[in-house]
Amino acid sequence: MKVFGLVKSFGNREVLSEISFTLKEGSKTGLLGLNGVGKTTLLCIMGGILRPSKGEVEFGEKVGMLPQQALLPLHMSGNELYAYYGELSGHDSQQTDIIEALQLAELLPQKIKQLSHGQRQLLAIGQAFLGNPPIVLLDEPFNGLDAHHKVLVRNFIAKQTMTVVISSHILDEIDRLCTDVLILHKGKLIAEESIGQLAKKGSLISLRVNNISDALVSSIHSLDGIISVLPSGDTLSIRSKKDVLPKILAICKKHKIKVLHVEQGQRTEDLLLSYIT
Amino acid sequence: MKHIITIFKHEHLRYWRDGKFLLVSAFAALLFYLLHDSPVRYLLLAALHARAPDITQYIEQIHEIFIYDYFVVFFPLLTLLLAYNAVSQDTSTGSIRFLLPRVKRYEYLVGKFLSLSIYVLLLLSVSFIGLGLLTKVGFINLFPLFVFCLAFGLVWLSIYFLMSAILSRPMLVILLGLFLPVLMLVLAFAPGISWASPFSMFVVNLGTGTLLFHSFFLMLENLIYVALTVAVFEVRNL
Repeated sequence: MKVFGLVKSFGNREVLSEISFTLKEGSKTGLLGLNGVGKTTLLCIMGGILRPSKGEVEFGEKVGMLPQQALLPLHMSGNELYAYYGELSGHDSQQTDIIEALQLAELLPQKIKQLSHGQRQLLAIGQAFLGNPPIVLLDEPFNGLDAHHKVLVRNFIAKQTMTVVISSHILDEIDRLCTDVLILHKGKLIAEESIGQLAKKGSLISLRVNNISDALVSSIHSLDGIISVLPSGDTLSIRSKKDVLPKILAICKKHKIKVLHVEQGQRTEDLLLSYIT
Repeated sequence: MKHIITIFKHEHLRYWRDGKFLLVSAFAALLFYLLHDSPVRYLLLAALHARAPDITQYIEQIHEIFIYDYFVVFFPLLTLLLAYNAVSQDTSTGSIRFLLPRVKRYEYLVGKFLSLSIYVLLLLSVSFIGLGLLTKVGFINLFPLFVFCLAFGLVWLSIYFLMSAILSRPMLVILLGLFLPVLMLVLAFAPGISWASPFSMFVVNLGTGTLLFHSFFLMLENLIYVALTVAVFEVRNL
């Protein structure tokens, strides 16, 4: 799937601005960004639900999609729904692999209005994969799922060979599932990287010490590659472009400050924060 | 085309399964009974026209009026019941978002419209069979009226379907939908509004002020029935 110069405006408000990227075949891409940056709008355009104001989305005929906060038709049973959507996706018979992997066999005969929120979410995730589309777009797939079903869904997605785009605020799941990330900020695409490349670009150090002095903060800040040093209680949150932990520990020693705990994060959450600040 | 047929098939089955067609049919049958020879109708008319000198003469016209009442006044409201939440419910609940990645928007709309049209055809067929049996008019003689009413019903269905597609709230469609026939009735009979005369084909073509009042009363009566039936639908959806 290729996206060129995508712009989307609602009235005078430009929600997406000149977005361009290419998804690698078979990749699992996390779509990241804060609330209201246009992630859902971008997915809706990619899924054909919304039309872009400008630009193009180039993809094959079929796209599977899990839209955010959309209710499945309540009067249908799961079986009726899967028969309907399966037929539209070019797959007339039920796909037992999806039903088995997501443990849907007990849910399908029931009317959707009788199912809980989490059970409906499972059905909705399964329908996105009906007909084995080459691209599947998932908007907040882990919403409303319990721990057991989160693992089921994670394992199910991990086994898929098609291109999958996942938008989620549960960044641990992005860490575990995705090979690439797209970061949106204020309607613009600010990063298109593989998780590996992204991790090399910065790190976040969390340092708990017995005493935080201004001299310590300014010494750390003067180190080469430091982006920010934020003291909070007895903890310093240090963002840097490269690995500066040994130098920081040396400074602490020089200032006779006892280091109680060190955590060096390269989690997607930290990287996302370092990008958007 | 394949997608349109699939949507037509499944949406049509959906209305059947969720009991919408049965409810609308029951509503149609009730109105058919009330508008025909029922004692309720005579009582209502007697109460309305207590001051009329010759009620018998009026009652003789009932069969003739019935055809207009049912098919011209009431039928638009029946199509409103079929169409009011056709698209707006999918839009307001977001379930349209499960379909649009699979089909083009026009395929969804055409398939959905066809699935409702078949109900218009079914309801009309059943009503005309009832009319034929009750009035002992040969079915062949009723055929031109049937074709007219079908075309008329589909025009109304299109209007309400479009409203449902444009407005994302089913209740808004109902409110405007109920208002529309009343507006047409008023425009058609308002003195001095000659430009509104084309609308008169949509409403009861009765000659006298008394009967105009009667037809207007029936219209309001039907609005109440429509509102009640919608309430039943919506309560079931809760």
